[in-house]
Amino acid sequence: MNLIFTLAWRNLWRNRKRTYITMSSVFFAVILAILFFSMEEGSYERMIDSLVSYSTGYMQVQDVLYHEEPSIDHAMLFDADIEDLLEKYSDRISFYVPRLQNFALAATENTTRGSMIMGIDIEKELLMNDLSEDITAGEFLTKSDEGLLVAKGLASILGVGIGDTLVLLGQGFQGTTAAGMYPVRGIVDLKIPELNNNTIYMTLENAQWFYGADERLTALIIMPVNPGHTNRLANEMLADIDRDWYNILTWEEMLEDLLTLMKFDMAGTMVMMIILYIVIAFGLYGTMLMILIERQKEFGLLFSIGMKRSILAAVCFLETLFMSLAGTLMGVIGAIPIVAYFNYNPIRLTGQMAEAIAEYGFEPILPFSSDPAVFYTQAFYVMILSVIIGLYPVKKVFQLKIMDAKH
Amino acid sequence: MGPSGSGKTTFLNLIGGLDKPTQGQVVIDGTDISTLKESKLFDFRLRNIGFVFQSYNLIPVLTAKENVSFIMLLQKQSKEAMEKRAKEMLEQVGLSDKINVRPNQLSGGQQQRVAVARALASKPKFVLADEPTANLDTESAFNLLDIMSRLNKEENITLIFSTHDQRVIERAKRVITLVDGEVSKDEKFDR
Repeated sequence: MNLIFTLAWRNLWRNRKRTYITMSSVFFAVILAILFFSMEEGSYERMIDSLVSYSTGYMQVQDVLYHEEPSIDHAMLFDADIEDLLEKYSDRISFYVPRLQNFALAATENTTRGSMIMGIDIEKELLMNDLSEDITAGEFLTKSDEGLLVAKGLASILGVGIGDTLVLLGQGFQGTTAAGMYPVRGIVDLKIPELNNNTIYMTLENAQWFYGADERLTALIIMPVNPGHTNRLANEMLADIDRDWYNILTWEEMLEDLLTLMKFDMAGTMVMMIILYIVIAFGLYGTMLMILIERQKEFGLLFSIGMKRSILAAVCFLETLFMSLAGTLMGVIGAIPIVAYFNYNPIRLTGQMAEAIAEYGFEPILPFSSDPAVFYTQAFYVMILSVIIGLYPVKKVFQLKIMDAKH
Repeated sequence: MGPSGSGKTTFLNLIGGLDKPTQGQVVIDGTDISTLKESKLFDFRLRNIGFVFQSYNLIPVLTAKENVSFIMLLQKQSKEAMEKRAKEMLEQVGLSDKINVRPNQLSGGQQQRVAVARALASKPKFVLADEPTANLDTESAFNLLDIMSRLNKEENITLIFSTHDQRVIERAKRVITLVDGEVSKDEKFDR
């Protein structure tokens, strides 16, 4: 084994220039593959994170009809059964956030606009997102506040500022009329354009009063201690809940359309990745081809003096592996600072691309993902590729005729 | 010996088990090597035959000592035995000061001496030398032949040369002349 390693390692440095060029091709391809993948993953993580934090949470308890027909009439009762359920799984639930949301018309003296009224539990909501840090004017709501927090885009459309009054008009629980006048306490910048242009926050108690839906919620958001175990927790809780009245949905079920779109979009990135892998494959293949031609006589000598084909094949295989391993390692190490930089300083998109992303309701930025999987999956793919390329010289060594090799 | 195209190298390849005869047998020490499977043949060569070629003799990434030890390493001899024998053989060929030097730092003559040391180090039954002096200057060729003659006596190992170099033929104890693949002359000398 020692002999195989020694020969493979020293052979690697027989033609330093060629080895460096081969390693460089792997290095650059791995860096590019990691950056592509990280950018793609980062965008998706950001989208999912935004939606999970500000909209769906990781899972929700809802009335059994609410997902199919999201109406205030399908608001669930937050009763003792639900409290018992939360108590039973309390060690696996980080926190829960009750919400009552419904549409209403928001009007000023001159303008009317359809809006999403979000009734929130002030303390619990802040466990889930940084809403209070996104205030651009005025103040965040207090627990017994009678005022509103208006999203920046909507405030601009309606032309309201701090201290102005908004008239809200909508349909309440089971056909009641919801109407009221509320002062604007603060303006909040929600980053996601779709939410930013139509959201109004008020306290949960206020919203329940406004819609005539005492003790009712449209969703009880549950944030698990371990988000990776969301599906398992949802299934277990489903088994303990009255399925005639309640349903539990995970973020993947709630954002199904978005996830399908992401998978479709990922196919484009995969094409780019495959092109990069082909570059790596040809780089390695070319080097191995040159090595085989160059060392044919040497192989003849080695066979003549009694070296077994399997040993020589292992030496050639290891050479390929060493080159790609070194290139991959350097690629991963080289990509870390770049990914880290763009993870903290996302690229801000402008022009048509920014508009297109904003239309989907997301902030037009490209953050990079620093998920370790971004790095090790690329390293893994390149290693698989090297093993496949490394099998070529193995095949050639086993096919080589000694007499042909000697001449 | 024999002119170019007479079949000298083919003959060496056959008795070295590198090539197979289309007719007949190659019997060495009672073993018909022409019927051996490849893996057995590799093993047979490893244990019984030493080789010295005209060129491409040494493994470029190994030092002189490692090249000499190489066959013993493939034979799985102990590290101590390999070390001792490699040093001893390099001393015998006058290269004890070049133990850790790689082939590209050695002259052509020195490389051939290392090749001879390697061929003899594992104590094979015989050594096949295919025109070993062809690429050497006169002084290096004489030097190499002196060493090979001495080792032939001291190590008691038969050396079979393919050559048309008169300097080699003058030292041989038996000279077989080939012409067009046929033995035309077989002479023995008491040297």
